[in-house]
Amino acid sequence: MKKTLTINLNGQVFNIDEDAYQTLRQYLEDLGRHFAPEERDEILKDIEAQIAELFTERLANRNVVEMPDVLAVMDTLGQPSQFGDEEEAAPSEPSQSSQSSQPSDTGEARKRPRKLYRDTDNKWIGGVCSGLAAYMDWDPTILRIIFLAVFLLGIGSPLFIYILLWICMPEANSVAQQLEMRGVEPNVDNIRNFSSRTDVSQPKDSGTMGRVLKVLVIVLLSLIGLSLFATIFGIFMAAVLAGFHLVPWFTAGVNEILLLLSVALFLLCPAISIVMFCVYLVNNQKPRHKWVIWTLVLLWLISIAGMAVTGVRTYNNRHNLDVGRFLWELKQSETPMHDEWVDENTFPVLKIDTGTVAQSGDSSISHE
Amino acid sequence: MPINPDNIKAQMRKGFLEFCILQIISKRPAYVSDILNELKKAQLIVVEGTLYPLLSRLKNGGYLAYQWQESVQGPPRKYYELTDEGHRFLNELEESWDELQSAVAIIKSDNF
Repeated sequence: MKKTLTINLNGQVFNIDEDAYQTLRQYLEDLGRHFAPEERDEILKDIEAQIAELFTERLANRNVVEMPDVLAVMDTLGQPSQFGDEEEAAPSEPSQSSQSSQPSDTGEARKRPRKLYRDTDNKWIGGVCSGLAAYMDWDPTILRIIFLAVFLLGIGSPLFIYILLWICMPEANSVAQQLEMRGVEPNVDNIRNFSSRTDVSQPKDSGTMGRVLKVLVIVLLSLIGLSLFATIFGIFMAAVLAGFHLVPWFTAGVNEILLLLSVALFLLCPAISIVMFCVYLVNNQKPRHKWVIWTLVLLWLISIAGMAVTGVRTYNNRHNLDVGRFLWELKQSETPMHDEWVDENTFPVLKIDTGTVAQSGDSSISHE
Repeated sequence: MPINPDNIKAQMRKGFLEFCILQIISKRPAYVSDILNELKKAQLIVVEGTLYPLLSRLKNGGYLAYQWQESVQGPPRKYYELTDEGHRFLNELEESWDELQSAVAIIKSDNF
């Protein structure tokens, strides 16, 4: 099943498959770039009229223009490089001139500068890593591993960089853009090759280096994951023990429990992600359960917020406690001092100035 | 500039192509498909796209004019015809073609 679009060619309406439309549009853009600006519009109009006529001829009883139709029309009309008269026109691409009349020289061998796109066909999250990998001709797995390693080690802010790149990098929607991403001239032949290639969407083999690296990363990640889970278990147990007052000398209020649970959640999310990542890495597949990832991210953010709130509260409580203990200690140490050399009548002001301290001291004195 | 056989063939064909287009149109007003059919019959062009910029440039040079004519099927078509200047230009081209042809004939037939 394919989505179709409706286009107007020289006043005639055609229904056209989406991929066929992308190819046709790219072709017309290529043609447009080939002609000088002052003659471009008219020539393109004539060509569109001819395309409409060719489509009408080809369609006969069918309703929808499909990829073969577009490719056939493009064959009939030819590539700009085959027009053989671009000396006067095409000021933008002088190097391409005079390579005339041979369709074979437009093969995949002819490279052009790569363009940076997000490769959403091979994406895990946003296609940023796969896009960067295509741009640098790397294996995306290696780039992902580097990204994750940097993230786990806490160097810089890869998460922030990732989101920024996600926003900045355009998505490679059409076949032409996907070819540009790989540095291949997006002309008819290459588009045709690319479209007919069946293994496009399959993950690339990462080679020996990649496999060794993969195993190392899986081992490393498992260790990190294990230690994380152990930590989480410890924290959880601590929360339970403290919450139910199971150990007399170790008790905590609601705030402290919530803080401990937040920390546990904060560690749990990356731990689960690591496990999932390992599973995907082992099975050499793309992440499928997107909602799990997003839930984890959400929980993680919530845990950060929770840690912030309960942490501040706990700190405040703690502070109060400390002040209380300080006052208590002061009170303890005050009594003998008082007895020894402080005369109440000599320092009557001290009592008033120090407020509670002096007051509590006072009361203890009066008890004696 | 190095000599590129393909390039030279393309150049030869290019000047020749304009001459032939003018010839076709001079016989009777023609629209793109007519011209294309004639050219293809003579195996002069490989791809149709070549024709459009040539027609446009000939028209902008004042050698061709066109008018819209209703067609039986589909939208109206552009029918090209030669202007007076186009006819003069065609005559000039014919002269130089004859000259070239005889020049080539002389050189090819001359056995020393």
